[in-house]
Amino acid sequence: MSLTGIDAPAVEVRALVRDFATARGGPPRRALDAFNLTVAPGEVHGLLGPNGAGKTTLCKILSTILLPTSGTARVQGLDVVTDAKRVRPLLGIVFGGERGLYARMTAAQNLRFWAALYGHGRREGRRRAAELLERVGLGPRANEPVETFSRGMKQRLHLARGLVGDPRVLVLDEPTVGMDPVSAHEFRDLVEDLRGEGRTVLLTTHDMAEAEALCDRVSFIDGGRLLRCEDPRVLGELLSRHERVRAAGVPEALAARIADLPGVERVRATGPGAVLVETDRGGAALPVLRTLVEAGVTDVSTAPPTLEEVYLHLIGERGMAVRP
Amino acid sequence: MSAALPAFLAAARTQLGEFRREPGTLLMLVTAPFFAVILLSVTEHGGRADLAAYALLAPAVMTSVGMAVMEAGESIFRDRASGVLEAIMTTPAPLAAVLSGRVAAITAVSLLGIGECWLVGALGFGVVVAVAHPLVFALTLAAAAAGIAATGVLLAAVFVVGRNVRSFQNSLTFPLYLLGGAMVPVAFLPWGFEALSRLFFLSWATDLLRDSLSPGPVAAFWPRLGAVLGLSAVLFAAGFWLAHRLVRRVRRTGTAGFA
Ligand SMILES: Nc1ncnc2c1ncn2[C@@H]1O[C@H](COP(=O)(O)OP(=O)(O)OP(=O)(O)O)[C@@H](O)[C@H]1O
Ligand SMILES: [Mg+2]
Repeated sequence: MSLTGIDAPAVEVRALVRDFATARGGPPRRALDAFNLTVAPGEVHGLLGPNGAGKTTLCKILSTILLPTSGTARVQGLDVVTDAKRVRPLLGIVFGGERGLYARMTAAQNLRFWAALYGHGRREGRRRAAELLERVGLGPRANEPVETFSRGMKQRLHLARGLVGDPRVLVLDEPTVGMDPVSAHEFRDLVEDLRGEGRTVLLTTHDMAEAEALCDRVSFIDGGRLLRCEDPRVLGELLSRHERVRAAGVPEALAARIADLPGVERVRATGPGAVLVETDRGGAALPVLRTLVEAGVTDVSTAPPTLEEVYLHLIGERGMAVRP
Repeated sequence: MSAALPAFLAAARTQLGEFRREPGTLLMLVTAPFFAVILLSVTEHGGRADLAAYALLAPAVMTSVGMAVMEAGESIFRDRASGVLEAIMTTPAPLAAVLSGRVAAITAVSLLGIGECWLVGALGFGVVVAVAHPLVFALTLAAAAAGIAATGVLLAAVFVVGRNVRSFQNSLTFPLYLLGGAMVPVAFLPWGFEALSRLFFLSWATDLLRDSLSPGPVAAFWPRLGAVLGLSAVLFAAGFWLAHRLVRRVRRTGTAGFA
């Protein structure tokens, strides 16, 4: 191991900027804007942000698919531009979705191919492929073509692919897209295992519950900038503080009464008689529920706020529009 | 560079699997015998039995070059569209090693075209073109295969740049056949062409292959083989360099994942 790799942060990003050219002469689009991030070795770090925030761009720069426009990014102390060759063996990347696999080859053939690209001979490649397919629960389907897999199964194969080089740092770009809740739960166990093995994990997600459950810290990114880097408990607190109550068959007078309850931020009509009550104080959902039930409304449910809503609270009203 | 050899071998295996999974990729091996029938009909009918070797060699060489150029290009396009190219860029393996493995497998398979054409001659016309100088033939063929593979790597690397290059793919093969003396020895070409074709390894290789099929002595074999190998090596080096440059370029433009 190089000297730099021992006590350097697993990921260190400083003033990172990435511009993309836009169609015909327009000004470049800035996907990352003076972005900073430090992830300690062994940390599981969450990256949360709305569509177009720059998460995938960051993942691609770290995995040497993209060059930064300016600023620096280091993995285990090694610069992703000047030392890309030494970064690649240390880092594994898992893309969300279905890209990056040979659809007509079997799961095992795919993994053996990727093992070879990490320098492993045939026998070692076979061993790793078999072991990883077992690990992600694809053992019984190992010899079937990837194109016959469900989305969640492809996602598991992506995870195995990301691990085939035995990376110290694993970058996961929305790894649970397409997974059912059971698989997503197994995925959490897998990340816990990775943590136990001392690997560093950078995880982008839209799922706040996932981030809260898995991460040591979470960073909020928007418009290519780091908004805040927090303990995930802050996230939990935000989630409970902004709990929402959905109800149907609510007369207007009752809706007005609920709007006046303490901690109720606003009551939105979502259809005839249907309302969505947003709260902005922990425990505020309880009196709302009580009032509704006492008035005879039984079609009631509660839900955590969406990422977008938490964002609105974190960054103020920008609206749901994707940035220009 | 330690990942280069395993990557080369794995890519070659992947390509061989591709031929099995998608037999359409072998299309040129289907057309080669038809070409052989056409050309041999012309030479036999014209009473030029002495040109039989030309008629059989031409479709075989064209198949080999054509497959290397077309299939190497296809594989790069598929890898871009499926996101595999991006994933390859994140691994320690040089892209050129992966490309070489693929093209090596393609070229090896494409050599089956020689057997096909000879069979057409023997079974269809009763013409058996004997290999008068087997060692010259074998060594030249091996050197030519390396050069054809190098050509494939170079062109596949060009195809990494972008989809717009794709339209060239088809039209590119014909100048290569011409400058490579696949059908007509370059000595028969108008003056300017011959000079240019001498920079292309294939013109030396096809001349040598034709010589190896005729009973007369083969003049200056080693220097000519050296020309095939030297010019092929230059192509290979250019392919590796270009692949490296173009990977850097798509890292800058962010277009590796574009179909
Ligand atoms: N190759 C590219 N060419 C041009 N613009 C790009 C390219 N890749 C990303 N962008 C732009 O950069 C910005 C950030 O995109 P990015 O994919 O990083 O967002 P994200 O946070 O991953 O979003 P999502 O949650 O939707 O995956 C977007 O405005 C996007 O349009
Ligand atoms: Mg993304």
